[in-house]
Amino acid sequence: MTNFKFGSVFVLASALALQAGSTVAQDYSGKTIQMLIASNAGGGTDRMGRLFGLYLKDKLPGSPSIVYRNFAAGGGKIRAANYLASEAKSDGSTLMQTDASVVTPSMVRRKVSKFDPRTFIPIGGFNAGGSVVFARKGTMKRLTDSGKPVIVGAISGSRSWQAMTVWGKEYLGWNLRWIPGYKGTRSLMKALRQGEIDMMATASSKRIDRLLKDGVIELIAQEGVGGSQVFKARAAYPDVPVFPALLKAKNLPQIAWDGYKSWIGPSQVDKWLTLPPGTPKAHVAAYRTAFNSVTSDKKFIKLLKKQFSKDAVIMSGEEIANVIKKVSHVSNDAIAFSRTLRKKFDISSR
Amino acid sequence: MTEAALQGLTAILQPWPLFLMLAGILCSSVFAALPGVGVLLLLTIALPFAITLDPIPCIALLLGMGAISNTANTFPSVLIAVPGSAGSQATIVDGYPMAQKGEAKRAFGAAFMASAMGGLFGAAVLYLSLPILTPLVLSFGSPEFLVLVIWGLSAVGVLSGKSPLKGLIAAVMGVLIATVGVDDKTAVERFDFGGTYLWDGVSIVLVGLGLFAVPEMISLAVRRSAVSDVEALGSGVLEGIKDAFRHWWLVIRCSIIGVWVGVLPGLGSTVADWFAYAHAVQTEKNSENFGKGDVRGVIAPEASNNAKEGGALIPTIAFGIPGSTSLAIMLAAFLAVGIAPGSDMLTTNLNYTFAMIWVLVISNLIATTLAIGASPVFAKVSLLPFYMIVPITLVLCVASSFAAHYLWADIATFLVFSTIGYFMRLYGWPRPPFLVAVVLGSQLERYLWLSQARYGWEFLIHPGVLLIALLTVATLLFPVIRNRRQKKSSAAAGTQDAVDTPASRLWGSLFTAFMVSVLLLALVISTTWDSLRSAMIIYWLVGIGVPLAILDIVFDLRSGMRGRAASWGITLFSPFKSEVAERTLAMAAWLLGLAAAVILIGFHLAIAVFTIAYVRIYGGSWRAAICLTLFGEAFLITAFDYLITVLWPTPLLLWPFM
Repeated sequence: MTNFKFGSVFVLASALALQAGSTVAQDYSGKTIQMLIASNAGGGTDRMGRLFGLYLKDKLPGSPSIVYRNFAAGGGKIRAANYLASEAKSDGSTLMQTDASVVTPSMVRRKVSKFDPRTFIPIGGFNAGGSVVFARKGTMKRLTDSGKPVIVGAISGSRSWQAMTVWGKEYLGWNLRWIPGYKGTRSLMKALRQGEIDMMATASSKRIDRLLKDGVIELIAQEGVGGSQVFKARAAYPDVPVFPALLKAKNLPQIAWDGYKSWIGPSQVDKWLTLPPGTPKAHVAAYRTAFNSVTSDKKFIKLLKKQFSKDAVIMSGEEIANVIKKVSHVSNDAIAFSRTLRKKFDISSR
Repeated sequence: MTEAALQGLTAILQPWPLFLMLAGILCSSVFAALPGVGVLLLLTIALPFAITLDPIPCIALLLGMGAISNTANTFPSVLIAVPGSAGSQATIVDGYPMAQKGEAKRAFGAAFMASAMGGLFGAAVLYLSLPILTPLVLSFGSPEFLVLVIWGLSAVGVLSGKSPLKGLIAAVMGVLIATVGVDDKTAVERFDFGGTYLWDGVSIVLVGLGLFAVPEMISLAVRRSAVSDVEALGSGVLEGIKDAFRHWWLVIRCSIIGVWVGVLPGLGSTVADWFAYAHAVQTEKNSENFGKGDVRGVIAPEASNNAKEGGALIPTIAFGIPGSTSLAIMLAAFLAVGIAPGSDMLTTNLNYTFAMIWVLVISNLIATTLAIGASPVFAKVSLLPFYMIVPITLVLCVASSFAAHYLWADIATFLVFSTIGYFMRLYGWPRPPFLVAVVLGSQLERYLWLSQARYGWEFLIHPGVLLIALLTVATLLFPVIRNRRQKKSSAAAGTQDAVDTPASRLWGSLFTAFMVSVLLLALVISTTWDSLRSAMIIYWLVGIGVPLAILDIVFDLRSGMRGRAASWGITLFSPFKSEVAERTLAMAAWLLGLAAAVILIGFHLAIAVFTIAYVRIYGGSWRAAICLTLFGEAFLITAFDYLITVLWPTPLLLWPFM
């Protein structure tokens, strides 16, 4: 018994020592870290990565320099993730700034995707606060009557906020018609102001507030924040109904809930930073500590909110890993259900 | 208003904002002149620093960079037919032939002065439009954009010159290229061949480089002379400046076009120069000179692409809807430093609006002075022997093409379009219609879909649509009526030097047949898509393109055979036996060799080996070879290793050791 106790203590002590050894503070003095950015230069993901990089380099031990490598158009998001999964060195010298699409099951389960987001090691990221669906003033009345449908403008059929409109039509009786094909959010904003479309959504509080200030829109529903189980209203829009709460009153079958979550779930991780699979714990700890330090910096938070959203919610690496885990477990039936609804309403998606 | 204007000027002329603006202008000029780099990248690099500044210095720095992004990119367009950026492609059509005639300096003088005038005009329009910003921007919906795109595409007619059939087929092929990629409205991945590379379409930079730069370099290598056919360049800069003033009315018209393209978010920043060029060919007298080194062909696009920047600021200031990607980056910075677009920009923050106007004015004046000052030095490049120009241009082309996505596939795409460009040039196909159609093809499909989906066919009777349609018809008919009066034909831009023999007609017909087969292959592939909506455009293209191509083949063969049937047997293979053919094949081998070497041993080593070998084999000294190699390496290290920090793919020969 004594021997067993002694042996146990020895094993435990050895394990602790090993653990301690593996998390010895890293020093990046004189090193160059490469940040892979899964987007074109100038886009939101790019700007986010460079903003994080600007602060991260001073918070990492030894203040290394950071170089940015954009994976431009041409399936850049997938190529960056493929590269991180199979080619990038896992010695703390490479990290990737990416977005929700890398987590989306329908994207991950494609042949061209040679990565599993569950193997990535997230450092942290942020959520803009969840999308808010809004319509031109005066169109609310048409939303639930049988007259001329409310026109929903969209870039493509795959944006996560569109789940709200599709489920709104199917379960809340919203009278909608979709027109995908706009070039970008800029074009949508202009079309909304012109009256070419009646409804759209964005997570950017800057854009929403500008339209509200100009008296163009009224807010209808919001995606909500807080994970895939409980959705809360954004602090900036406390009175706007949270969409899942609207659905709850309709007693949806489980497959409908799963289908909804399969589409909208990935948007919980809006923009995030990750290390490659297999990165040693010491580096992970160093990066996560630096990330926490960056996101505690008031100046950084001020810039983040000014550039992206005043409701920006910072997410830790562990939180992001949890969301990825949940989203990845979505069943093929749930994805198929979501596809069937899209097909029913003539909204195609990748 | 006057008080705010003075406040804005005083704020900009303080030492710190002035210094930042000058630094921005200098950096922007360098970035713009480097093919494949571009000012967008500069803005991205500067953004993290800019958001730490106060509002006025932030405006001075970023707008100083952005306002002149289309000034210095004229240098490579004129000297080596390589567009410095997508916004300077149209300048090549007449700029490069001017350099060939020994008029590079004059082209620079005219281009830079037109750029400055366009930039100032854009600033003036921004100032004058302040009270009517809102209705101005909101007057254009998808149907109006559609008619505008059709107006742009009508340029195909005049850009086709004496080869209308070939021009139209080229346009059909251009639209076909524009359909490559994911179709947003249906999510069909068109022509992606199972990979992700083509999901976002074919890069317009690769198409432009391939269509123009390589065919011109092959021609230069075959001629074995300098770009300029004359030995002395003369003092043409001043003459060019005078040209810009002499054609002031053209400058104004093209500036208006540029401002409009800028004002309308959704048309894209690469169309302004082509719209203006087409307008010049359509409306100017003696249009047969366009494409052969007419200074008006340089003035028109250059006035337009700089005026666009002022126009693009209008929706940015009014609604926070940036008119271009550059302005989207600037807007992110402006928001971060506390400049919010909207009605405040016309009331409490009017001084910021005026600061922007002043930066547009001052930066255009400074950049023009700098560019004109540097012109005599740059113009000497056109006197360098071919063995100095050809290798460095090919190096720039291969490196710039790689910069599209940093993939080997970019180089392959570039080679494909180089081959197409070469044969188009050889068989008298006008290249600009192809490029214009690539630029506007996706917009044509997009706005046709949006207009029809939203309004049904009723959109055809929208007042704005009718008005622009009338203008389109008028601009189409005007040259026809004028030419009939003058009994002259219009220009055939980009068709110079085509060989016309029975044999070349036969081979040309085979080239046309090849184009038809590509169309038919596209049709077959489109039948596998699960959305008819996505395939509809292909059916249209086949329906138009195939009959046109058959007609073209018939005309070519008939005119080729007429009276010369006896010589067919003798001359059929003559194109392959001439010295020209030998030199062309040698040049193709050099280009392929460079591409292969880059993939096998990596960029740095391949470029050194290629440059030294080319210069030495064609009679250059060791000194020239080493100087040129150092220049190429300096470009590569500065642009790709330092500025872009490219993640170089592992050279194939190094794979076993990785």
